[in-house]
Order: sequence, then C-alpha cells, then structure tokens
Amino acid sequence: MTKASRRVPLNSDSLHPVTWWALGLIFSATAVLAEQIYTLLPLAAATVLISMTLERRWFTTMRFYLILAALVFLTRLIFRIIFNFGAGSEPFLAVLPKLEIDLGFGGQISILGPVSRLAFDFAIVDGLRLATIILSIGMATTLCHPRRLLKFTPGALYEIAAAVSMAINLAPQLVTSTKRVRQARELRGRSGSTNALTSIVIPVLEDTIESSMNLAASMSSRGFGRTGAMSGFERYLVRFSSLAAVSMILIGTYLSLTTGIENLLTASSLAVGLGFAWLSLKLTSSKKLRTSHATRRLQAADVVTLALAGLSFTGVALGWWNT
Amino acid sequence: MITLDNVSFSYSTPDLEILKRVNLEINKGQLVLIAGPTGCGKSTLLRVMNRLAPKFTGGYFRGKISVSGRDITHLQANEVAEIIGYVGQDPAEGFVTETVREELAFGMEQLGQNVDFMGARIEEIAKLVGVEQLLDSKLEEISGGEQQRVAVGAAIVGGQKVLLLDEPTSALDTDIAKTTLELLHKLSRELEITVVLTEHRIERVLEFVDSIVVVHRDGSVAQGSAEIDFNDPRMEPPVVSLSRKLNWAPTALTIKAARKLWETTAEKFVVITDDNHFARYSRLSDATIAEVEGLSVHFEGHTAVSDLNFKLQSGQITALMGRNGSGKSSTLWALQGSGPGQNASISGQIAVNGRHPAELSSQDRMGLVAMVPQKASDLLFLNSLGKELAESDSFSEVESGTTGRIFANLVGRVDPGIHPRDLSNGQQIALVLASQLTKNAPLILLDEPTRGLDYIAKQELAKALQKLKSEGKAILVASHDVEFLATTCDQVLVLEKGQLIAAGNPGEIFLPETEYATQVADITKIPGVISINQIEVKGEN
Repeated sequence: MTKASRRVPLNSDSLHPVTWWALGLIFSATAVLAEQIYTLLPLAAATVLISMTLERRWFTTMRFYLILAALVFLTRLIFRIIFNFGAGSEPFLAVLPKLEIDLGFGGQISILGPVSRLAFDFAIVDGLRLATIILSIGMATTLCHPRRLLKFTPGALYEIAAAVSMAINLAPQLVTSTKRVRQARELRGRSGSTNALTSIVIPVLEDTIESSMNLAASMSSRGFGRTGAMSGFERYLVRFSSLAAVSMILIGTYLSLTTGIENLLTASSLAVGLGFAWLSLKLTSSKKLRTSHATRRLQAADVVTLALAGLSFTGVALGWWNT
Repeated sequence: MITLDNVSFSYSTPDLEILKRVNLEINKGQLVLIAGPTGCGKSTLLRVMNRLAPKFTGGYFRGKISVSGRDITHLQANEVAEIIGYVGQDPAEGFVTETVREELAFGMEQLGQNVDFMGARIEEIAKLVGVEQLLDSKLEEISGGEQQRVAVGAAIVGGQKVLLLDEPTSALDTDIAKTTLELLHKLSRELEITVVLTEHRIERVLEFVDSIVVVHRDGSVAQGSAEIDFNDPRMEPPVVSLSRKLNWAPTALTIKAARKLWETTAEKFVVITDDNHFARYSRLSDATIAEVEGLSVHFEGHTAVSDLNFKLQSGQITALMGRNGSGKSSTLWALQGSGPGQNASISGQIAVNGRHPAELSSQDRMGLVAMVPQKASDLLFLNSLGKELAESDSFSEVESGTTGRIFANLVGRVDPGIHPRDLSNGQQIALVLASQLTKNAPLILLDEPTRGLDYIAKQELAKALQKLKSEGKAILVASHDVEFLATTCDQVLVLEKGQLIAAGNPGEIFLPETEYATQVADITKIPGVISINQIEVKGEN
C-alpha cells in the first residue's frame, strides 16, 4: 500500500464486496442463534453504525430497512399480545379482558387475556432477532450494491445470481417510483369510491415492471446470458443442475437449523446439492463464456474483518456470549 | 450492412401487422434516422434489427435479416451482441453496474473478451465518447448527457459495427442533444459504425443523417435520402417547410444549406419583425393571474431555485426554459402548492388570484391551479377512459360528465371503453389536464408536455392550449422544445442554475446563434424572425 492511498478515509470501497455480504450473512446467522437482548442489541446497533460511518449516503438505502425492521418488531409484539395462547405463568405485565371466539371448527380460540412477563420478553427477543436479520441485509446492500456481487459469482450460478440481484434491486426501485407517483397523486387526489391501493399500486407496479424489462433488454443486448458453443442439451443440463444445486443446499440448510445436522435427510440433501453444484461448475468451466475485468482479490483487511465477525459468531454459537 | 428482406411483425394477432413487408438496405458507416408517428413501430423496427423482438418482446415475425451478409434471423439478442449495440430510451435504466468503468467493462466481459486488453480499451472508448474524466464516478451521480454518452460507449466497446439508439436525445436539452448527435456522427464517419436512431424531433437530427426511413401507420416503410417525401406536411421540419414555401430547389435539409440559399435569395422575401407580430398573437391583458415574488427552493445541500420574480397573465402562454437541472420542475411544483418533494424548503411569495395554493387542501387547490406532471400516466390508474372520467367527476364533486366534456373539448370524442394506457401520449396529457380543470382553475402548469410526442400529438396539444388561452387561462409550459414554443407561446422565461437570466417575447429570446434559436432564426440570422409565417414571398401579398 502506498502512502497516498493510506490517507483515503475508510469507506465502503475499503473492503472487498464479498466481504460486506459475508459480514451481513454472519451477522444474520449470529442473530438466528442469539437468545439474549444484550447479544442482539449490539448486533443491530453495529449494522447501523457500520453503514453510517462507511457510506456517505447510507440513509437513502438504510431508511427502507430501518422502517421494515421497526414494523416487523412491532408486529411481533402486537401478535404476542393478541394471540396469547398459553397465557404463561406469572408475573403478568398486564391483564387484558379475555375474548373467546368460536370459529365453528377446531374448538374455541381465546385472544387477548393476561400477558405474562416471560412471554413478552420472548416476543421482544424474537422481534429483535428478525429486525437484526433485516438490518444486516440492509447493511450489506448499503455498503455494496447486490449488482456488484455478480462479478464474483461462479459461472454456473451466474444466471440465478442475476435474477436474485435484480429481485433485491426491486426494493429500492419500488421506493423511488412510489415517491414519484405519490407526488403526482397530490395533484389529483382520489374519490371515496377508489381505494388508495389501486391509485398508488397500479402506476408503481407498471413503472417497476417496465424499468425491469428495460434493464433486462439492455443486459441481453450486451451479450448477457450467452451460451456460446453449448449444445441445447448441455444448456438445459447446466440450468437444471444449478437450480437443483441451489434448491437442495437451501433445503439442507433449513433442515440443519430445524431438525438438526445429524438427521439423515439433512445430510443427504446437502450432499446431493453439493454434487449438483460440482456438476454445473464442471460443465461450465470448460467453456470460456465470460471474462472478468479487474477482479479484486481478498486482502488482509478483508480476512481480519471476517475473522472478527466469525469470532463473534463462534462466541454466540458456543454460548459464551449468549447466556 | 443491414438488410431486411420482406420483414413483417405483429404483437398480438398475425394479421395486425405493425411492420408490413419491410425491405431495407442500410449501408456501412451511414447514420440513418427512423421517423414516423408515435406507436407506428419505430422502436419495434429497432428491436427487430437487434433480435430483441420477437424472442424478448413476444410477437410474430416473418422475413429475413442479415448483417454484413450473415443471416441473423434465427439468433437472439445476446447472440448478435458482438455485432450490434443497442441503447434504449432511458439509458440510466439500462445500466447494470455502479461505476462508469464497470459499465464499460460489462459488455466485454459478457462477450468473453480477453481481459488483458480491457483496461486499455475502456480508456480508449471513454476518450472517444468524452467521459475519460468520469471513469470512477458513480453512474447515478453523472448528468443525463453524460449517462447517454456512457451508454453509447458501453454499446460499442466490444467492437460492434452497428449501433441502434431509441430516441437518444428526447430527454436532453438543445446543447447536450447536439453534442450527442455530433458524437454519433463522428462514430459513423471515423469508425464506420452504422448508426440507426429513432427521433420525433426530426429538425434536430436532419443535418447529421445520411438517409431517412419513414414508418407509416399502415406498417409500410419508405426509405430515402435528400428528397424524402414525408407524406404529411405536418411532419416536416421547419427547414423543409421553409424550402417549400420559398420554392427552393433542391429542398434544403440542413441549416447550412438553407442559410446559403437564403443569403443568395433574401431580397425576394419580406420579413415581418415588428413587435406587432407578437402582439398579434399575444393579446396582452392586464389581468394578472399569478404573481411570484422572491421564490427560492432549497434542497438538502443545494439551491434549486433562487429569488425568482415573475407574473403570469390571463390569456397568455408563458414558456419556462433552461437546461436540464436549471430548476424548471421545482418552480412548477412550488407554484402548484404541493412542493417539489418532502425535503424541499420553499420561501418567497406566491399568489394565484390572491391566494397561496400551498395553504389549500388538494381539492380546493384544483380551483386555482391545474398541473400536468412530466409523466402524465402516473395519474392514471383505472382500466377505462370512462372510469377515469367518472372518478375525476366524483373526486372534484362536480356534475357527472363535466370532465368528459372538457376532455372532448380539448381533443374530441374518444371511445370511453378504451384503456387509458392505449390513449396516445397527447390524449393522456389531455385527460390529466381535463381532470385537473374540473374546477375551472385559472392557472395551468405543464411540465415537459412535448417529450415523446409526435407531430400530430404536438398539434393536438397546441390546439388545446390555444383553446384554453382564449378562455382566459394563464398557462406556464416548462419545455426544451424551441420549435413548439415558437409557435405557441407569448412570453419566455429563461432559467439558469435556478436564476431568471432572461425574459421577453419569443422574438427577443429565440435569437439566431444562441442555444434557443429556432431553425428559421438560424437560417435568416435576423433577430426577431423565428417562425415561417414571418416570411412572405415579395409580391404575393
């Protein structure tokens, strides 16, 4: 590193794009395992703090995720108060009138009623956990636009990765066109007989779909998604095996979090997924379809950052920072 | 270079052909303009050429297309990407990456080109299109003209020999549009890239093109060079109309050619330059509708508009001009009352018939100000014209049928069962305008109403504005479209960086050899002469 470049203040470009997303995923994984407010709160605060210090225009992106996180957190709390099935043990925080509703099937359902301290605490942790996961993804998006990840995706997964990154991109796009349409609506208002949803949603959706189509047209006309010398059969095989790989790995991950890694189904779906991933990599690596300009390599700073994040994850996973 | 052989294309059913048996031959290194009314299939013709249609858009295709003798009929857009570059209507929407450098690299990466040469190639292309200073800038932070140039660079960086552009200058102001066209001209001359572009404002492009392809409403296509028959005099750019009026032969197609002819024959013509000419169509009234004093609009960190003072009078059309980002939209939204966004702070006095629109509810505001925003379709959300009209009546609590009557008065009767998206752009503007005028607002604001309008729609709009003007409305039009304004407006305000730098009648502003010159002004070089009807042949009258 030269002296001149050392003077550049830390910003989102200081680390490799993959590092930011890995950091975001490690934070979310840590949040999934965390069971204490004092684990979750610093994590949530860290996501916001990191975005604030490293990205000048952090608020434009992060605002959306902050609102979403707050909404999810509140919804979780309100649900706990309303659907308060096994009332739980004392002490109660509040005793609300209990409503018994008979829906005509499945017996009686009771809503409201006493809210126990324990159940409420549990709801707070649960809500905070969801909020932290949302904020971690928000941090990753703020510091590194999902489009930039495309460059580092292995060939076999490229098309799927592109679809996913476009999907993530839809959220900020929805925000901008909603803003514009809402300003336009200031002009015309709407009568009582028209609901607010149609008057906003239809122009916004039309706008978003149109611009996504334009982006896709532009990508395609610059050569995106070329299959080059592949035969039709090979093309289908690659698409099938990469889709299968992603689905099986996702199922495997889900199972390992729910039924546990030692379950036979978990292990076998992970194994099948990895097998398909190997197949698609093998199929595409022989064809030189795409090249990559100025690819960045992971540097010492990236490794240190990831190691630190990994340490906190291990801390939580082993229970040192989670009891 | 590009050969279309009996090409037909239709979107829905095979018999509703938008392109019918098209035969075209476009030569290498030519700059070709595709002209024609909105919805006639100009963009479709471009998309057929680079194979986005039909594989991407859907539809039925028949015929044969080849580029440099290679049959590309059965290929997809991404398979012809190395020979054909394409730039869509909004270049910013087509950007895939974050910075200029990455965007220029993207195409080469997709085509699998050698990494070792990419850095040098990016520098070379950046220099060619004039963005070498911006290589590490973010795409969303550069100006519209710069974005357009990056998109052009990204489309030819892989060594493409054909470049297709869909309305490349429609969103740009006069100066930047000219730079863009000069760049395209350079590409066709120096690099022998075949450039094909669509454009509504033919007058801007004419002096750069080698040939013109006109797509007619029935799907047929005519190709020609100098003596092109536009088939409809309304489509002619002013330079061509002037040639016809003054019986010049051959018809002048460029300003340069027309200027030469004018210089040698000027003594045969009479020009009307007195102020009466403008007074004739600007019956100056004393009734001030809107008065703006010391208007400023600030956003976080920058000033969009500072200390504006002007008056808008009854029965007058005022043009608000200025480059992109000079504060035109902010001025309109401030005047309308709902303001140009949540984080804008507005100061100064605004009075429309003595009241400040910002202090009224959106329903009461309609009694004072009507406004059509840049994208009129943002205000349309129901599935038929009839429902939109009824919704407007019920929102503004007026007698049912009121909006429909205003709408019909502006553009004539239209089938109420039609979907609002299927209305022409001009009709959409009229619909939004009608729904805004239910309470007889004395002030009308229009933001870039001629953007994307063809010559027919522009005439419809001009007629509607004249009608409203004769009813005594005060009308403020923000626009870049000098030729449209020269025939419609009575007063011009020019903004630069948020400040009012000039005001006057069109003859005083649209001066020869300025960026606001009309074609007639540039040809005659007589200050105050801006439109064809100011020039008469001697002895005829």
